[in-house]
Amino acid sequence: MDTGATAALYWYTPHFNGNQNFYNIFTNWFGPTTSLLSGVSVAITQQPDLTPARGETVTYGFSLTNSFTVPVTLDGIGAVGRLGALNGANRDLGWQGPVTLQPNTTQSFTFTRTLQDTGTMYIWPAALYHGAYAQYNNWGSTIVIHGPNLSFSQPLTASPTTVYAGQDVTFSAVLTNNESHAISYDAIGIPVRFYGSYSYDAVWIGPGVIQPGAQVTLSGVRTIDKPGPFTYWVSDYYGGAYTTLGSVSGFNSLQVSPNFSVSGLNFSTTSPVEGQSLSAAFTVTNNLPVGIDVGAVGIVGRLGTFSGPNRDLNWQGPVHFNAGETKSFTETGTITETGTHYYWIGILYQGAYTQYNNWGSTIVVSH
Amino acid sequence: MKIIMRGVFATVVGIFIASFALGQVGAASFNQNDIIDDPIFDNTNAMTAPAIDNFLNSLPNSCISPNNGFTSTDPIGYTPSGGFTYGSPVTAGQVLSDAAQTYGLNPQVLLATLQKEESLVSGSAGCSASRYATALGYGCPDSGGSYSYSYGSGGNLLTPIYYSHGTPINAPSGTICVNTAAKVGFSEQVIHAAWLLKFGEQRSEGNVGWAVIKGNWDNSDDPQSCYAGPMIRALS
Repeated sequence: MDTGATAALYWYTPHFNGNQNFYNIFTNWFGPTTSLLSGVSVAITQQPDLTPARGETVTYGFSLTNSFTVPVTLDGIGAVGRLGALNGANRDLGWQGPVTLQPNTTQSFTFTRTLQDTGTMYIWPAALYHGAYAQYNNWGSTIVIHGPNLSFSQPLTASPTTVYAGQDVTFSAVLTNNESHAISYDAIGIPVRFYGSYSYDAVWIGPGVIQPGAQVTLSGVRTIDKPGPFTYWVSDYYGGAYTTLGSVSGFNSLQVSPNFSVSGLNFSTTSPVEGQSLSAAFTVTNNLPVGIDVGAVGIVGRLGTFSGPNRDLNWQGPVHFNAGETKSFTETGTITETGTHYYWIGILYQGAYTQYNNWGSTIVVSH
Repeated sequence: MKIIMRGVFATVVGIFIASFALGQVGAASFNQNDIIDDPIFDNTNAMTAPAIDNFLNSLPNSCISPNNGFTSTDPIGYTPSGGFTYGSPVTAGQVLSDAAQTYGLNPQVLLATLQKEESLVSGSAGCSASRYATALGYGCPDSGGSYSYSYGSGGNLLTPIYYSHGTPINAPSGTICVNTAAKVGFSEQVIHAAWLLKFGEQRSEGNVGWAVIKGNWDNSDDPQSCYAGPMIRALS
């Protein structure tokens, strides 16, 4: 006897005919009595790309021929995929079923999978029959998956190159797929990190597919609202893993400090009399590439000397200056004393005054 | 447990050499030396009890289908001193599933044997009481024999041979080939056959220590039981 099960049948019923009757009943009702692999053969009809890239969709085709004399209903037919080793992580290409294979017939099956890993992967046909898997792993294929060849047709840039806190920065790059197959991605983007951890990501796109030779453009604007070190790079996200494309770049965002120029301090009169109203007109230009908010803009006034009693003409604020913006001001006050008055432009920013006293004027109230 | 065989194994089986490799075309028809492979013979998960009952219900004339009102006592244990014990009546699917699970057997093997012996699965030979009493031909040697049994007051059967729509059915008198009362009846036949098939498989492979000992099942007398059947090729 070849099997203990067969021996048991003969011990139970020591008749050839009786056991052939058992065989006929069993196979008619339940299918083959011998191992599936002995009667259902496999032939490969389509080999996958043996050196694919991550993100590439591979196809594996095979046919099954039932050489039994009875139909075989398989619970499932699939292409097993294992990563790194034959007992590695499950990367099955797919399963379908149930499938009935008629006697002496051949059926073809095709399975596809978009590869999410790099490294070696083993693929082979298998069938699920009566709760057990029949592995046709001597028909398998070994594929070696590499990272996709995506190059920069336009390098990764951040504009402007000198960045002040509060400034909008444009990050951009253009990638080209140099693979001979389409490459899928869940997302491609430009992550930006402050001190290496806080996210200021500029752009993400996807999911998508880059056809062979095609390009994908990445561009996004992000407000850099803090001074300090920022890093940025291009990242390809697929299958739950991020891959950095190219190198990591960086810049230091600069702290904003006022940078104004003033002009045109013109008075309505240079010889007012006591009790007369005096107006002073001037302009202030924000020389920064970013906007800035100041507490106040006004005309400082001092009586008798530059450090004499406060006779400020007027202040207004807060005032917002856009990047490069010039604003005109006219401050008006009433002269209440005779004597020499000194006036100049002042700007209050974060509790400190900037004195533009080289633009100052001396006003003498004559009487 | 004492083995009662239908006869002495006398069939001369020719040698058939088959060399299979993965993916190669293999046997396509009956092979007398490899009627059934062990993994299929041992596949207890091939059918659940409800699946068996559904299969039986798909056969309109089945003698043991739920649709036709069949139930039988559930085999629930064994001891060397007390033999098999039985519980409340359940469907045939439950009886077959429990017996198969207990002894690690594919319930389809029991179904095919039931059909082979008395055609109770399809009902193609009718559903007389004597067919239930000898459902799997267990303890019914080819040398023949005729025994009288009865169930009930003064009877010598442990349980009815089955239930029809809940009514206990007794064994017919004077016409049964089964050689002891403990083996008469549907459930009795199923559990004895399940044990014998598994015992034969294990012993033919040289597993002389095999015995099911779990819960209410104490087959500790199996290793002392005699086996005189065929051995697998590697041991013969």
